Amino acid sequence: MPSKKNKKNKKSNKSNKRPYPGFLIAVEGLDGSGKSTQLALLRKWFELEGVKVFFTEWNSSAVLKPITKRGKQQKILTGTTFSLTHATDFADRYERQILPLLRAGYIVLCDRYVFTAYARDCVRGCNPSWLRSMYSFATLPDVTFYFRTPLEVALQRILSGRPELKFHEAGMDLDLDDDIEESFKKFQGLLFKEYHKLSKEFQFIEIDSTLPPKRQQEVMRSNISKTIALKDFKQKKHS
Amino acid sequence: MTLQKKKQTGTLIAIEGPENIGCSTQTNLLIESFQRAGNPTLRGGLGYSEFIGSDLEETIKIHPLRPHTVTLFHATEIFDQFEKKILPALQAGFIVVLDRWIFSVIAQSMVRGVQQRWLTSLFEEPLMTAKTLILKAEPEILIQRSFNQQGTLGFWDSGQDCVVRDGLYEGFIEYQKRQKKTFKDLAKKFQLTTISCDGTIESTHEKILKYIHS
Repeated sequence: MPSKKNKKNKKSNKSNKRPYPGFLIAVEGLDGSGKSTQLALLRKWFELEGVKVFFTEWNSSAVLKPITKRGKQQKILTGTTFSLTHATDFADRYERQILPLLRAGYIVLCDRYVFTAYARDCVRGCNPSWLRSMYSFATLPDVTFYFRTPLEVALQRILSGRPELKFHEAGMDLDLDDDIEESFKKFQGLLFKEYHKLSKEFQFIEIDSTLPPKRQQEVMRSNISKTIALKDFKQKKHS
Repeated sequence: MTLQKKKQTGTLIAIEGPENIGCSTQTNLLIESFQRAGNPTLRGGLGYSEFIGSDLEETIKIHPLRPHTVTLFHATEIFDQFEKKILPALQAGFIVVLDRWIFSVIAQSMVRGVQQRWLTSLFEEPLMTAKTLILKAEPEILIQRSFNQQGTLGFWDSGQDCVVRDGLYEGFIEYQKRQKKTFKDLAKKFQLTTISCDGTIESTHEKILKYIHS
Protein backbone atom coordinates (compact mmCIF):
# COMPACT_ATOMS: atom_id res chain seq x y z
CA MET A 1 0.00 0.00 0.00
CA PRO A 2 1.42 3.40 -0.88
CA SER A 3 1.69 5.73 2.08
CA LYS A 4 -0.14 9.03 2.31
CA LYS A 5 3.09 10.68 1.28
CA ASN A 6 3.21 8.53 -1.87
CA LYS A 7 -0.26 9.53 -2.88
CA LYS A 8 0.59 13.16 -2.36
CA ASN A 9 3.71 12.93 -4.53
CA LYS A 10 1.86 11.07 -7.18
CA LYS A 11 -0.93 13.60 -7.16
CA SER A 12 1.46 16.54 -7.37
CA ASN A 13 3.26 14.86 -10.25
CA LYS A 14 -0.04 14.31 -11.99
CA SER A 15 -1.27 17.82 -11.50
CA ASN A 16 1.99 19.06 -13.01
CA LYS A 17 1.63 16.79 -15.99
CA ARG A 18 2.90 18.28 -19.22
CA PRO A 19 4.12 21.68 -18.06
CA TYR A 20 5.91 21.81 -21.44
CA PRO A 21 5.09 21.54 -25.14
CA GLY A 22 7.11 18.32 -25.64
CA PHE A 23 6.05 14.72 -25.10
CA LEU A 24 7.74 12.18 -22.85
CA ILE A 25 7.63 8.47 -23.64
CA ALA A 26 9.21 5.82 -21.42
CA VAL A 27 9.61 2.08 -21.81
CA GLU A 28 9.96 -0.27 -18.88
CA GLY A 29 10.23 -4.01 -18.36
CA LEU A 30 12.54 -6.82 -17.42
CA ASP A 31 15.87 -7.34 -19.16
CA GLY A 32 15.12 -9.36 -22.28
CA SER A 33 11.57 -8.00 -22.66
CA GLY A 34 12.38 -6.44 -26.04
CA LYS A 35 11.69 -2.84 -24.96
CA SER A 36 14.94 -1.39 -26.36
CA THR A 37 14.31 -2.92 -29.78
CA GLN A 38 10.80 -1.49 -29.85
CA LEU A 39 11.95 1.95 -28.71
CA ALA A 40 14.60 1.98 -31.47
CA LEU A 41 11.87 1.25 -34.03
CA LEU A 42 9.73 4.04 -32.58
CA ARG A 43 12.66 6.45 -32.78
CA LYS A 44 13.22 5.52 -36.42
CA TRP A 45 9.55 6.20 -37.15
CA PHE A 46 9.76 9.68 -35.60
CA GLU A 47 12.99 10.48 -37.45
CA LEU A 48 11.49 9.43 -40.79
CA GLU A 49 8.45 11.60 -40.04
CA GLY A 50 10.76 14.59 -39.48
CA VAL A 51 9.82 14.86 -35.81
CA LYS A 52 12.07 16.50 -33.20
CA VAL A 53 13.09 13.47 -31.16
CA PHE A 54 15.70 12.72 -28.50
CA PHE A 55 16.67 9.37 -27.02
CA THR A 56 18.22 8.71 -23.61
CA GLU A 57 18.78 5.54 -21.62
CA TRP A 58 19.19 4.53 -17.98
CA ASN A 59 22.63 4.93 -16.41
CA SER A 60 24.19 6.77 -19.34
CA SER A 61 25.32 10.18 -18.05
CA ALA A 62 28.79 10.77 -19.46
CA VAL A 63 30.11 12.02 -16.13
CA LEU A 64 28.22 9.79 -13.70
CA LYS A 65 28.34 6.43 -15.46
CA PRO A 66 32.09 5.88 -14.86
CA ILE A 67 31.61 6.62 -11.15
CA THR A 68 28.72 4.14 -10.84
CA LYS A 69 30.73 1.58 -12.80
CA ARG A 70 33.67 1.98 -10.43
CA GLY A 71 31.38 1.55 -7.41
CA LYS A 72 29.91 -1.62 -8.90
CA GLN A 73 33.30 -3.06 -9.86
CA GLN A 74 34.71 -2.44 -6.40
CA LYS A 75 31.50 -3.81 -4.86
CA ILE A 76 31.38 -0.96 -2.38
CA LEU A 77 27.78 0.11 -2.98
CA THR A 78 25.04 -0.42 -0.41
CA GLY A 79 21.37 -0.54 -1.44
CA THR A 80 21.10 3.17 -0.64
CA THR A 81 24.23 4.32 -2.46
CA PHE A 82 23.38 2.08 -5.43
CA SER A 83 20.06 3.92 -5.57
CA LEU A 84 21.59 7.38 -5.09
CA THR A 85 24.28 7.00 -7.73
CA HIS A 86 21.64 6.00 -10.30
CA ALA A 87 19.42 8.89 -9.16
CA THR A 88 22.35 11.28 -9.66
CA ASP A 89 22.87 9.92 -13.18
CA PHE A 90 19.16 10.35 -13.88
CA ALA A 91 19.12 13.91 -12.45
CA ASP A 92 22.04 14.91 -14.66
CA ARG A 93 20.24 13.68 -17.79
CA TYR A 94 16.92 15.09 -16.61
CA GLU A 95 18.15 18.59 -15.74
CA ARG A 96 20.51 19.03 -18.68
CA GLN A 97 18.66 17.15 -21.41
CA ILE A 98 15.18 15.73 -20.78
CA LEU A 99 13.49 18.81 -19.26
CA PRO A 100 15.07 21.47 -21.54
CA LEU A 101 14.21 19.28 -24.57
CA LEU A 102 10.60 18.88 -23.42
CA ARG A 103 10.43 22.64 -23.02
CA ALA A 104 11.80 23.00 -26.53
CA GLY A 105 8.94 20.84 -27.84
CA TYR A 106 10.82 17.56 -28.44
CA ILE A 107 9.50 14.05 -28.15
CA VAL A 108 11.84 12.51 -25.58
CA LEU A 109 12.25 8.74 -25.54
CA CYS A 110 13.53 7.16 -22.34
CA ASP A 111 14.76 3.58 -22.25
CA ARG A 112 13.88 3.08 -18.56
CA TYR A 113 12.71 5.92 -16.33
CA VAL A 114 12.15 6.42 -12.58
CA PHE A 115 10.11 3.19 -12.42
CA THR A 116 13.28 1.17 -12.93
CA ALA A 117 14.58 2.70 -9.69
CA TYR A 118 11.24 2.11 -7.95
CA ALA A 119 11.44 -1.59 -8.86
CA ARG A 120 15.16 -2.34 -8.48
CA ASP A 121 15.91 -0.17 -5.46
CA CYS A 122 12.82 -1.36 -3.63
CA VAL A 123 14.01 -4.95 -4.12
CA ARG A 124 17.38 -3.79 -2.74
CA GLY A 125 15.66 -2.64 0.45
CA CYS A 126 15.06 1.08 -0.13
CA ASN A 127 11.88 2.60 1.26
CA PRO A 128 9.32 3.06 -1.57
CA SER A 129 8.17 6.45 -0.26
CA TRP A 130 11.74 7.69 0.04
CA LEU A 131 12.33 6.63 -3.58
CA ARG A 132 9.21 8.37 -4.84
CA SER A 133 10.08 11.53 -2.95
CA MET A 134 13.67 11.48 -4.27
CA TYR A 135 12.50 11.32 -7.88
CA SER A 136 9.62 13.77 -7.37
CA PHE A 137 11.61 16.57 -9.04
CA ALA A 138 11.01 14.76 -12.33
CA THR A 139 7.75 14.88 -14.24
CA LEU A 140 6.00 11.59 -14.95
CA PRO A 141 6.02 10.38 -18.56
CA ASP A 142 3.06 11.19 -20.77
CA VAL A 143 3.06 7.55 -21.82
CA THR A 144 4.83 4.58 -20.24
CA PHE A 145 4.90 1.33 -22.18
CA TYR A 146 5.48 -1.71 -20.02
CA PHE A 147 6.71 -4.75 -21.90
CA ARG A 148 5.08 -7.55 -20.04
CA THR A 149 6.99 -10.78 -20.49
CA PRO A 150 6.43 -14.14 -18.83
CA LEU A 151 9.38 -14.53 -16.47
CA GLU A 152 10.53 -17.77 -18.14
CA VAL A 153 10.63 -16.08 -21.56
CA ALA A 154 12.72 -13.14 -20.30
CA LEU A 155 15.10 -15.48 -18.51
CA GLN A 156 15.49 -17.71 -21.54
CA ARG A 157 16.19 -14.71 -23.80
CA ILE A 158 18.86 -13.29 -21.52
CA LEU A 159 20.49 -16.52 -20.41
CA SER A 160 20.78 -17.88 -23.95
CA GLY A 161 21.96 -14.65 -25.53
CA ARG A 162 24.49 -13.42 -22.96
CA PRO A 163 27.63 -15.39 -22.14
CA GLU A 164 28.29 -13.89 -18.73
CA LEU A 165 25.95 -12.25 -16.23
CA LYS A 166 27.20 -9.24 -14.30
CA PHE A 167 27.25 -9.21 -10.48
CA HIS A 168 24.62 -6.50 -9.91
CA GLU A 169 22.58 -7.45 -12.97
CA ALA A 170 22.13 -10.86 -11.36
CA GLY A 171 21.30 -9.30 -7.98
CA MET A 172 24.28 -11.06 -6.39
CA ASP A 173 24.58 -8.17 -3.91
CA LEU A 174 21.28 -9.34 -2.40
CA ASP A 175 22.60 -12.77 -1.40
CA LEU A 176 19.67 -14.51 -3.06
CA ASP A 177 21.76 -17.48 -4.19
CA ASP A 178 25.44 -18.40 -4.47
CA ASP A 179 24.94 -19.48 -8.07
CA ILE A 180 24.86 -16.42 -10.35
CA GLU A 181 22.30 -17.87 -12.74
CA GLU A 182 19.97 -18.89 -9.90
CA SER A 183 20.44 -15.48 -8.29
CA PHE A 184 19.54 -13.79 -11.58
CA LYS A 185 16.36 -15.85 -11.86
CA LYS A 186 15.30 -15.02 -8.30
CA PHE A 187 16.16 -11.33 -8.74
CA GLN A 188 14.17 -11.09 -11.98
CA GLY A 189 11.26 -12.81 -10.23
CA LEU A 190 11.24 -10.12 -7.53
CA LEU A 191 11.44 -7.36 -10.15
CA PHE A 192 8.59 -8.95 -12.07
CA LYS A 193 6.37 -8.66 -8.99
CA GLU A 194 7.38 -5.02 -8.45
CA TYR A 195 6.64 -4.11 -12.06
CA HIS A 196 3.25 -5.73 -11.77
CA LYS A 197 2.43 -3.42 -8.83
CA LEU A 198 3.89 -0.36 -10.55
CA SER A 199 1.93 -1.04 -13.71
CA LYS A 200 -1.31 -0.68 -11.75
CA GLU A 201 -0.15 2.28 -9.68
CA PHE A 202 1.06 4.35 -12.64
CA GLN A 203 -1.32 3.09 -15.35
CA PHE A 204 1.33 1.72 -17.69
CA ILE A 205 0.25 0.73 -21.18
CA GLU A 206 1.06 -2.95 -21.23
CA ILE A 207 2.53 -4.52 -24.34
CA ASP A 208 2.52 -8.28 -24.63
CA SER A 209 6.12 -8.93 -25.56
CA THR A 210 5.38 -12.44 -26.77
CA LEU A 211 3.52 -10.90 -29.73
CA PRO A 212 5.42 -10.64 -33.03
CA PRO A 213 7.72 -7.55 -32.92
CA LYS A 214 5.87 -5.84 -35.78
CA ARG A 215 2.56 -6.19 -33.93
CA GLN A 216 4.06 -4.72 -30.74
CA GLN A 217 5.25 -1.72 -32.74
CA GLU A 218 1.80 -1.26 -34.24
CA VAL A 219 0.28 -1.17 -30.75
CA MET A 220 2.78 1.48 -29.64
CA ARG A 221 2.30 3.67 -32.72
CA SER A 222 -1.45 3.38 -32.52
CA ASN A 223 -1.42 4.49 -28.86
CA ILE A 224 0.80 7.45 -29.63
CA SER A 225 -1.22 8.51 -32.66
CA LYS A 226 -4.34 8.57 -30.51
CA THR A 227 -2.64 10.88 -27.99
CA ILE A 228 -0.63 13.35 -30.09
CA ALA A 229 -0.46 14.66 -33.64
CA LEU A 230 3.05 14.15 -35.02
CA LYS A 231 2.73 17.30 -37.13
CA ASP A 232 2.87 19.32 -33.89
CA PHE A 233 6.40 18.06 -33.25
CA LYS A 234 7.96 18.47 -36.71
CA GLN A 235 11.31 20.18 -37.14
CA LYS A 236 10.93 23.77 -38.24
CA LYS A 237 12.61 24.36 -41.57
CA HIS A 238 15.30 27.03 -41.68
CA SER A 239 14.35 29.97 -43.86
CA MET B 1 19.48 1.41 7.46
CA THR B 2 18.78 -1.21 10.09
CA LEU B 3 22.05 -0.27 11.77
CA GLN B 4 20.44 2.83 13.18
CA LYS B 5 18.10 0.76 15.27
CA LYS B 6 21.04 -0.72 17.19
CA LYS B 7 22.23 1.01 20.31
CA GLN B 8 24.52 3.97 19.73
CA THR B 9 26.86 5.04 22.49
CA GLY B 10 28.91 7.55 20.48
CA THR B 11 28.34 11.20 19.65
CA LEU B 12 27.85 12.79 16.25
CA ILE B 13 28.82 16.42 15.78
CA ALA B 14 28.50 18.33 12.51
CA ILE B 15 30.32 21.61 11.89
CA GLU B 16 28.38 23.36 9.15
CA GLY B 17 28.85 26.58 7.23
CA PRO B 18 29.88 28.10 3.92
CA GLU B 19 33.15 27.08 2.25
CA ASN B 20 36.32 28.75 3.54
CA ILE B 21 34.73 29.81 6.80
CA GLY B 22 37.04 27.47 8.67
CA CYS B 23 34.98 24.30 9.22
CA SER B 24 38.02 22.08 8.48
CA THR B 25 40.24 24.00 10.89
CA GLN B 26 37.63 23.85 13.65
CA THR B 27 37.03 20.15 12.98
CA ASN B 28 40.78 19.49 13.39
CA LEU B 29 40.92 21.43 16.64
CA LEU B 30 37.84 19.71 18.01
CA ILE B 31 39.14 16.25 17.16
CA GLU B 32 42.46 17.13 18.76
CA SER B 33 40.76 18.23 21.97
CA PHE B 34 38.68 15.03 22.12
CA GLN B 35 41.77 12.89 21.48
CA ARG B 36 43.70 14.79 24.15
CA ALA B 37 40.98 13.74 26.58
CA GLY B 38 41.35 10.11 25.45
CA ASN B 39 38.23 9.77 23.30
CA PRO B 40 38.25 7.61 20.16
CA THR B 41 37.30 9.85 17.23
CA LEU B 42 36.41 9.63 13.57
CA ARG B 43 36.49 12.42 11.02
CA GLY B 44 34.04 12.64 8.12
CA GLY B 45 32.19 15.21 6.07
CA LEU B 46 31.90 16.48 2.53
CA GLY B 47 34.76 15.10 0.45
CA TYR B 48 35.52 12.22 2.86
CA SER B 49 33.59 9.42 1.16
CA GLU B 50 35.83 6.57 0.02
CA PHE B 51 33.46 5.92 -2.87
CA ILE B 52 32.97 9.49 -4.12
CA GLY B 53 36.19 11.13 -2.86
CA SER B 54 36.91 14.30 -4.84
CA ASP B 55 34.80 13.21 -7.84
CA LEU B 56 32.26 16.00 -7.36
CA GLU B 57 34.89 18.72 -7.08
CA GLU B 58 36.65 17.41 -10.20
CA THR B 59 33.40 17.00 -12.12
CA ILE B 60 32.12 20.50 -11.36
CA LYS B 61 35.37 21.96 -12.73
CA ILE B 62 34.72 20.51 -16.18
CA HIS B 63 30.99 19.88 -16.35
CA PRO B 64 28.18 22.27 -15.35
CA LEU B 65 26.02 20.04 -13.14
CA ARG B 66 22.55 21.31 -12.23
CA PRO B 67 21.23 21.71 -8.64
CA HIS B 68 19.36 18.41 -8.10
CA THR B 69 22.28 16.51 -9.62
CA VAL B 70 24.78 18.17 -7.28
CA THR B 71 22.54 17.52 -4.28
CA LEU B 72 22.18 13.84 -5.14
CA PHE B 73 25.94 13.62 -5.70
CA HIS B 74 26.41 14.96 -2.15
CA ALA B 75 23.70 12.62 -0.86
CA THR B 76 25.67 9.68 -2.28
CA GLU B 77 28.83 10.70 -0.41
CA ILE B 78 26.86 11.40 2.77
CA PHE B 79 24.98 8.08 2.83
CA ASP B 80 28.17 6.20 1.85
CA GLN B 81 29.89 7.51 4.98
CA PHE B 82 26.79 7.32 7.14
CA GLU B 83 26.06 3.66 6.49
CA LYS B 84 29.58 2.29 6.24
CA LYS B 85 31.57 4.29 8.75
CA ILE B 86 29.57 6.64 10.92
CA LEU B 87 26.89 4.30 12.27
CA PRO B 88 29.39 1.52 13.09
CA ALA B 89 31.65 4.10 14.78
CA LEU B 90 28.76 5.46 16.84
CA GLN B 91 27.87 1.95 17.92
CA ALA B 92 31.48 1.46 18.99
CA GLY B 93 31.30 4.61 21.14
CA PHE B 94 33.34 6.96 18.94
CA ILE B 95 32.93 10.72 18.74
CA VAL B 96 32.38 11.48 15.06
CA VAL B 97 33.11 15.02 13.92
CA LEU B 98 31.85 16.02 10.49
CA ASP B 99 33.53 18.75 8.45
CA ARG B 100 30.46 20.23 6.67
CA TRP B 101 27.51 17.91 6.39
CA ILE B 102 23.83 17.84 5.49
CA PHE B 103 22.85 21.42 6.36
CA SER B 104 25.70 22.80 4.24
CA VAL B 105 24.31 20.84 1.30
CA ILE B 106 20.74 21.90 2.09
CA ALA B 107 21.75 25.59 2.29
CA GLN B 108 23.69 25.64 -0.98
CA SER B 109 20.94 23.69 -2.74
CA MET B 110 18.18 25.99 -1.45
CA VAL B 111 20.08 29.04 -2.70
CA ARG B 112 19.98 27.32 -6.09
CA GLY B 113 16.21 26.91 -5.95
CA VAL B 114 15.88 23.32 -4.71
CA GLN B 115 12.83 22.85 -2.48
CA GLN B 116 13.46 22.43 1.25
CA ARG B 117 10.82 19.71 1.57
CA TRP B 118 12.53 17.61 -1.09
CA LEU B 119 15.89 18.08 0.63
CA THR B 120 14.74 17.19 4.14
CA SER B 121 12.93 14.13 2.81
CA LEU B 122 16.08 13.00 0.98
CA PHE B 123 18.28 13.33 4.06
CA GLU B 124 15.62 12.42 6.63
CA GLU B 125 17.39 9.57 8.34
CA PRO B 126 20.89 11.01 8.88
CA LEU B 127 19.34 14.40 9.74
CA MET B 128 17.94 13.04 12.96
CA THR B 129 21.23 12.16 14.57
CA ALA B 130 23.78 14.98 14.40
CA LYS B 131 24.46 17.67 17.00
CA THR B 132 24.85 20.56 14.60
CA LEU B 133 26.80 23.80 14.81
CA ILE B 134 26.62 26.42 12.09
CA LEU B 135 29.56 28.76 11.66
CA LYS B 136 28.76 32.21 10.33
CA ALA B 137 30.73 35.23 9.15
CA GLU B 138 30.06 38.33 7.09
CA PRO B 139 30.59 37.89 3.32
CA GLU B 140 33.32 40.54 3.44
CA ILE B 141 35.30 38.37 5.88
CA LEU B 142 34.68 35.23 3.82
CA ILE B 143 36.00 36.94 0.73
CA GLN B 144 39.29 37.70 2.50
CA ARG B 145 39.57 34.10 3.67
CA SER B 146 38.86 32.81 0.16
CA PHE B 147 41.59 35.04 -1.30
CA ASN B 148 44.00 34.05 1.44
CA GLN B 149 43.37 30.33 0.95
CA GLN B 150 42.88 30.06 -2.81
CA GLY B 151 44.26 33.29 -4.24
CA THR B 152 40.95 33.73 -6.09
CA LEU B 153 37.20 33.28 -5.73
CA GLY B 154 35.80 29.92 -6.70
CA PHE B 155 33.16 29.55 -9.43
CA TRP B 156 30.85 27.65 -7.08
CA ASP B 157 31.33 29.88 -3.97
CA SER B 158 30.69 32.92 -6.12
CA GLY B 159 27.38 31.46 -7.20
CA GLN B 160 28.38 31.87 -10.83
CA ASP B 161 25.96 29.10 -11.78
CA CYS B 162 22.98 30.76 -10.07
CA VAL B 163 23.62 34.43 -9.24
CA VAL B 164 23.80 36.72 -12.24
CA ARG B 165 26.18 39.58 -11.44
CA ASP B 166 28.68 41.46 -13.54
CA GLY B 167 31.78 40.58 -11.55
CA LEU B 168 33.13 37.68 -9.53
CA TYR B 169 33.33 39.91 -6.44
CA GLU B 170 29.71 41.10 -6.74
CA GLY B 171 28.56 37.54 -7.42
CA PHE B 172 30.43 36.23 -4.37
CA ILE B 173 28.95 38.84 -2.02
CA GLU B 174 25.41 38.32 -3.30
CA TYR B 175 25.67 34.51 -3.19
CA GLN B 176 27.14 34.49 0.32
CA LYS B 177 24.44 36.90 1.56
CA ARG B 178 21.76 34.56 0.25
CA GLN B 179 23.48 31.53 1.76
CA LYS B 180 23.87 33.29 5.13
CA LYS B 181 20.16 34.09 5.16
CA THR B 182 19.34 30.46 4.28
CA PHE B 183 21.54 29.15 7.12
CA LYS B 184 19.78 31.58 9.48
CA ASP B 185 16.36 30.30 8.42
CA LEU B 186 17.49 26.68 8.76
CA ALA B 187 18.94 27.34 12.23
CA LYS B 188 15.63 28.80 13.33
CA LYS B 189 13.52 26.03 11.86
CA PHE B 190 15.66 23.13 13.12
CA GLN B 191 16.77 24.87 16.36
CA LEU B 192 20.46 24.67 15.49
CA THR B 193 23.22 26.57 17.28
CA THR B 194 25.01 29.27 15.30
CA ILE B 195 28.48 30.44 16.22
CA SER B 196 29.96 33.65 14.87
CA CYS B 197 33.54 33.26 13.69
CA ASP B 198 34.43 36.81 12.85
CA GLY B 199 37.24 36.65 15.45
CA THR B 200 40.36 34.48 15.72
CA ILE B 201 40.54 30.72 15.13
CA GLU B 202 41.18 30.21 18.84
CA SER B 203 38.21 32.30 19.95
CA THR B 204 35.89 30.33 17.66
CA HIS B 205 37.31 27.07 19.00
CA GLU B 206 36.63 28.24 22.56
CA LYS B 207 33.02 29.05 21.65
CA ILE B 208 32.58 25.59 20.09
CA LEU B 209 34.07 23.84 23.13
CA LYS B 210 31.84 25.84 25.43
CA TYR B 211 28.79 24.74 23.44
CA ILE B 212 29.86 21.08 23.26
CA HIS B 213 30.46 20.87 27.02
CA SER B 214 27.36 22.86 27.97
